[in-house]
Amino acid sequence: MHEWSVSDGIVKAALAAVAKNSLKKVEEVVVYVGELAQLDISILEEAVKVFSENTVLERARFRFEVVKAEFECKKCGATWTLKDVVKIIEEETKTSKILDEEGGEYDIPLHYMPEIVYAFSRCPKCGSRDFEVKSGLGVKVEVRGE
Amino acid sequence: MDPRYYLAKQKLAKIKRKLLVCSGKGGVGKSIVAASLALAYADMGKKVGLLDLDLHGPSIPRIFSVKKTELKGGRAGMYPIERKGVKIASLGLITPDKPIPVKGRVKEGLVLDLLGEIEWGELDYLIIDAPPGTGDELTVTLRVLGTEGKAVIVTTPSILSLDVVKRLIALLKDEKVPIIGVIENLAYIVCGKMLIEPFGSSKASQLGVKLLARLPIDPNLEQYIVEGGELKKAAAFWGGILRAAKAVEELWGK
Repeated sequence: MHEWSVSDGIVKAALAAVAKNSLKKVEEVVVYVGELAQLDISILEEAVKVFSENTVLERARFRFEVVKAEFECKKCGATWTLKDVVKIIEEETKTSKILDEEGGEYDIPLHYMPEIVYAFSRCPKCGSRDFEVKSGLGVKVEVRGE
Repeated sequence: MDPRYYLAKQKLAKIKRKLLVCSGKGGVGKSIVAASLALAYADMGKKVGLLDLDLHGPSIPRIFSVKKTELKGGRAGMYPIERKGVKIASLGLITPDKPIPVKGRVKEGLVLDLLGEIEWGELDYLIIDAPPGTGDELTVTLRVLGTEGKAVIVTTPSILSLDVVKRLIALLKDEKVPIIGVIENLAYIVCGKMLIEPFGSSKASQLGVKLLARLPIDPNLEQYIVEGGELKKAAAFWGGILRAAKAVEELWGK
């Protein structure tokens, strides 16, 4: 349910971009969502509509694009994707679940803090924790209009 | 554009006073001082939060004897836990023992997560325990806080620590963050009737900032932490903390 909080930030970031670029009409807001946070796009779509009400974004089209997570080991040079380390992350976050008070379900910390993946993952080839997330972190917002 | 900047600003807007507790060097007792200031304000009846921004070595959970806890989240983000009247958030609550080898832009993201995803509610004080130095954690926090935060510096009176503190003060001044004063920790030890100042007398005047308190070396402090964060038992230390907390209260609007 944390998607509601993220959506609030998305709309605020988009409105800031509108003001900065003195846009009078917004056609599209493109939201790049990092895969690591495992955000539910359908909730984001619903929530941004609510937060956009009575703003210049009310009639804008929101388009969400999930950015796949890609990793690179700085030690052995291996590259991998999220599905290659799902088991490692599940194992490492076993005792670090976060209870969703409203949904009654447990989330992994990456849902709230995708960057914390550095504490809960390793290179699947050599086991090193010295790796880099090349893509798939965070949320970015682009506003298109005139 | 990172939406977390806006979330962070929104969450912090509900907090009356944002107090950065920072130091130039590590090992000067900054986290103990930050935790003690939070406890002092809670004792005064204030609504207090304590945010541990040390990404690599969070120690606030240990100070409050939190070994295992279940964190909760919801629509507004993650909720801090509460101990001794203080709301607490720290990466140490999420992972008490795993290494957190983050660098560069990733640190910026984690700081934004902590500032933007923790739902504190309304607070009188948010004490921000910044990691030592002038790296990403501090600079990102200063960017988010703008001129809304104020700083207290913790140092020992050692000349080695002071040199680094001068750099920190220069950064805070350049970023227009008001510095309320300095707390000199580990400043003296009472041995029988003797008062020993291992680093000499106060150096606050050399820094050009107000001295808020000098705190003693209390050999029992470690044991009081083990006993459950009973920092108030360290009488002379706690007296200094209360003086510093009251001074911050008085000087905030000046």
